[in-house]
Amino acid sequence: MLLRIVAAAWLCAASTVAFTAERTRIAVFPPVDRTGRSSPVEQIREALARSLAARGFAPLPQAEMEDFFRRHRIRDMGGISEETARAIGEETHVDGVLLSSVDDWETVEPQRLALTSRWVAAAPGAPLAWMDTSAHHAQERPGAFGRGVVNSLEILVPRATEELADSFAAFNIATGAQHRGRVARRFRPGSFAVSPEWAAAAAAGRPPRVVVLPFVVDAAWRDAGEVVASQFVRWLLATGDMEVLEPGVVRAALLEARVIQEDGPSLPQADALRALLDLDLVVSGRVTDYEAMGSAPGSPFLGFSALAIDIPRRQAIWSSFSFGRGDDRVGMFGHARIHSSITLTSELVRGAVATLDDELRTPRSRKGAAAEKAANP
Amino acid sequence: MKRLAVLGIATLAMIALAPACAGRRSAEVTYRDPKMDFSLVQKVAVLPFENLTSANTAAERVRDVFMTMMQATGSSYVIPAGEVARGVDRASVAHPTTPTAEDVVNLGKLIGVDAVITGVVREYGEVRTGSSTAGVVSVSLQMMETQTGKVIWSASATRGGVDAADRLFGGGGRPMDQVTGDAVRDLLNRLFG
Repeated sequence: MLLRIVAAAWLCAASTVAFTAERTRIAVFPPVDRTGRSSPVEQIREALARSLAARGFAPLPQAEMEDFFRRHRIRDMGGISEETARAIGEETHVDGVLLSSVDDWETVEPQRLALTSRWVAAAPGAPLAWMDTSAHHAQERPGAFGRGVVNSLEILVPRATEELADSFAAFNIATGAQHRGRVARRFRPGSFAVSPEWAAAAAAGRPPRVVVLPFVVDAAWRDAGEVVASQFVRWLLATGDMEVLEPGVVRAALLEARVIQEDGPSLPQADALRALLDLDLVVSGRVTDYEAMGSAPGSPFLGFSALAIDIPRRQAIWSSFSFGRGDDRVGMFGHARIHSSITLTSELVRGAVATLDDELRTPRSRKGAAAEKAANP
Repeated sequence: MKRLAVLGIATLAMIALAPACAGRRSAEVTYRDPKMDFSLVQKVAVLPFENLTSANTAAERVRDVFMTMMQATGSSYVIPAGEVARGVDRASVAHPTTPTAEDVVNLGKLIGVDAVITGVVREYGEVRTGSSTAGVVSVSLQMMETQTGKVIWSASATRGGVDAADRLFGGGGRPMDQVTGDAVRDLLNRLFG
């Protein structure tokens, strides 16, 4: 037992060497507003930079960052291309960029806020290493006699930025330590299909290179497709079994290949992306239902389908359909109720990704049998 | 006297339950081409469904659920929706929800599928009876083989609605996604059963 504790302590000390907050210089980009409600992105950026600085990180001064934006004519803060990631590293000596988005923002009661951040290293290929979301709702912890109800975004904003900064500080780039955790049954997809032959082949080879395309969505929900896609990026990355490409790099490739997807990608479009990005998998889908509030306060709902195409084999290897409500299977006193639509999105996407990840993590013996079956049909 | 009372109560119960039972939809008919060997249908394209309901995205929702559940059966490979859209565009299908036999043959050649499935969503949403509300979905599907464009399978299913328990005890019925899943499962059972 003592040996185990000593070994764990040593491992912990060894792993923190690779990612020490004091040494990490970060460019904190202004968040992208995906709410359509004119959220104060600059104040949120400053709060995020303050939270990171409090944990020993060194955020790049704003003036220096704006100089860089001006020199390179950068307007889109939703992603970063390979070229920009390399240039910002060389010119400002940052280790990486923190890209964020405001996924939910409501100023009237009940107030809501959701922030998603991701870390992209300022290195060739713009590798994406960490991503997390912090979503809060004024009534998430009402407590006895409603004493826990928050009536101000001035409390929710720092709560979200502090959580993200804590998560980032705890993350270890060297080991990619980010855990999916256990998925509750209510968040598992209603129906799904995974190709065991693909899983067997993928487990034997290098980690598949994956891109997530924006989900097709009805015009009424505006940015719901982007929000669902970003949660897919987050949870696919968290599996640790896949190399997920930075959405900014994907966007640049989509523009270069002139891919316009009206109903998801076609095989020639997937081939074009593969030629540019050396991909293995393309994940896309459609958001069929999205409501931030639902019919009663605090009852959001979401429905989406997802599909992964294995480009070398030119076939769909995974598809799933998920639907959930914030008030599904709520226990006594509202226990397990989900108030935030972004938390619900995150949990449902985590459940969908788990079906793919579970197939990749099935015992080798089962995979061996599947591979054999694929080789000798 | 006692027998009369029991008879009276039983009659009243039957009267009360009769319309409630009528709320449940019975299984609908299925057409299956007896000359067709369905094991030859390895690759399928599901075309956009026709929407006859007031819910704008009902057809997309039902189609998504159907495609996923059909893929999950492992019996046929369902080609991705983007690939279907490319085929429809290249084959210049004027009405993708109601293709002609010629359109089906052309699509088969272009995207390499053995069969094409079309569908109509006739009902999708909540029905209200008295104080009870429940989700209901009604779908009809057709499968056409791409050699000749002939219909080889056709079926329809209706699931959900207010049942006896909902009427007696009030409350809502099952959620729409579960009702949709039930209807699709029923159709797939009849296709592969």
